[in-house]
Amino acid sequence: MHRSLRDSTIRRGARRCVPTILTLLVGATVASGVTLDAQVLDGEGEPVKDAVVYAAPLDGRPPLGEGPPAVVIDQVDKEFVPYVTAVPVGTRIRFPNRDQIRHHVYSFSKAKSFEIPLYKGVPPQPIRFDAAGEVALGCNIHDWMRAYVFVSETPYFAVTDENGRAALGLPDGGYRVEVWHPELDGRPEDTAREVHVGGGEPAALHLSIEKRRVWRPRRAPSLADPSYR
Amino acid sequence: MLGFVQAPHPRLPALRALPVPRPRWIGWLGAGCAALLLADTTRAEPEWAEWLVDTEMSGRFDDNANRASASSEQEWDLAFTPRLAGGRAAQLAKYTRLLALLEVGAAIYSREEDLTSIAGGGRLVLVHKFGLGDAPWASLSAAGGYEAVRADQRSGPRYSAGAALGKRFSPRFDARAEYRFSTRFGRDGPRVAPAPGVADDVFDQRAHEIGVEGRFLLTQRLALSGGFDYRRGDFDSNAQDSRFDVLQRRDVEAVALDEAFGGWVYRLEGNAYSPFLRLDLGLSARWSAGLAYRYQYGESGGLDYQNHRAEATVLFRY
Repeated sequence: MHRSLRDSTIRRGARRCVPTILTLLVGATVASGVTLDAQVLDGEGEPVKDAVVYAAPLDGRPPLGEGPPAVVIDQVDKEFVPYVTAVPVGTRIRFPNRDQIRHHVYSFSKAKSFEIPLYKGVPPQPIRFDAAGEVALGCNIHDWMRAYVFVSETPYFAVTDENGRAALGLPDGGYRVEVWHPELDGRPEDTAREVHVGGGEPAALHLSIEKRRVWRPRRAPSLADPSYR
Repeated sequence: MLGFVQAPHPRLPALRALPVPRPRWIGWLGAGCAALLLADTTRAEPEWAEWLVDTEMSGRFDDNANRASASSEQEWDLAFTPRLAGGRAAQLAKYTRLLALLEVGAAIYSREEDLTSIAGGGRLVLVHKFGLGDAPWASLSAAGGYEAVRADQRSGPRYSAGAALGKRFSPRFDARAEYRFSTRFGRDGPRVAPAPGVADDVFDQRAHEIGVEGRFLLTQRLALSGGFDYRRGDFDSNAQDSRFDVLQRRDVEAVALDEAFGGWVYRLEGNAYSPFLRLDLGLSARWSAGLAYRYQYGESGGLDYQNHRAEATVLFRY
């Protein structure tokens, strides 16, 4: 009894360690490569926040690790935080509700269709995102709540900050770099650029994308009677 | 000249035979709520889910506040109308919630001070959404309250019940259609001396109303709403003392001295048509400001009235 308990504990501990070790290995690999400083600008030269810059090795698809054990997308003051999350295929995402009211998270997207009906606190099971692509999130109570998950086939990705900048740690080699953004006008393939990094030299890359207007239901009280809020 | 007022009013027997309006729709409302809940097969445990507080402050201009038929008798006015509503939302089932609100408000008139009023009441709104995302929704509502007007004949309880259907067609556009029944009661009289025997319960009124409204986002913050309301039912209209022709009309259901505008106020049953436009600017997640315009044309036989209303509103929602 004691032995089986201990074995089980060890196995659980080992399972927990695997992603950590893989992360460390990836980090070690990256440390021996270079950092690609990418900046994404729109057609008017303004920095683009919340763009996902991802790099696929030209010599084929890289082996994917387990990814982080669970990524978190919060719901705070009736908004998803963050607005854009990038994860590798296979990642499990938790959707804790930090508000004192209920939310009802859902997605109709082809890459992941799911629903977490009305809940408070932390749902018991995370949602596994096992297909590459973009996933639009919504809340069925609060129409304006929108967020996006970009599920990447490559482990080399980053989300741009308010200056449109993202840093990707890349092992030496050639890469095809693409950009995705919720307001991207066109396909990510249209943004593709090839880069070669190596020799410990940092690399910089400027990417330009065309944005289209994406409308969100407005978050503001309406002078009309409340319908569903 | 005044001989006609000595004869019994031709509508009087029928008017007196009218039963006191009773809110029979409460039974239908209950049945509707039960049907929605039974239809929602994924019921959750009912739970109070959210506090709601709405504060609204409006300034409203009306170019015909007394709804006078003759343009020469029209009185314009400007009213300040603060309103506070608070309550809770209860999540009754996965797609069904109940809003329970208590409301207080006032209307402070700048010219005709006898119209100044305070009001309080409650409202229940049961909202059901038929699925996720942009699925349509339906609501049933019931409201009741009391309005105390300085011109006391206008004071009395008000009740309404309605149903609405709505759908978001895109993030920029949503629309709704609504039906509402409303009834109000006021104090009888004061009786018009030259009209003995004519009913004087002018402010006992009932009406049915249907309306449609669409809302379109012009920018991410600015919404334009437009719609049309049709109302069938009682309305009151003001006439000056010289309008004896009003008393000759068979479709005038009740007449009383008007404590607010002077002259007479009479009740008709008729139709009102009311297109409207509204611009609504979101200042933040909780604040918005709006400008609205409404044109109303009411008619009953040969008597009609029209008015133009403009309103500026600031709204806070917690």
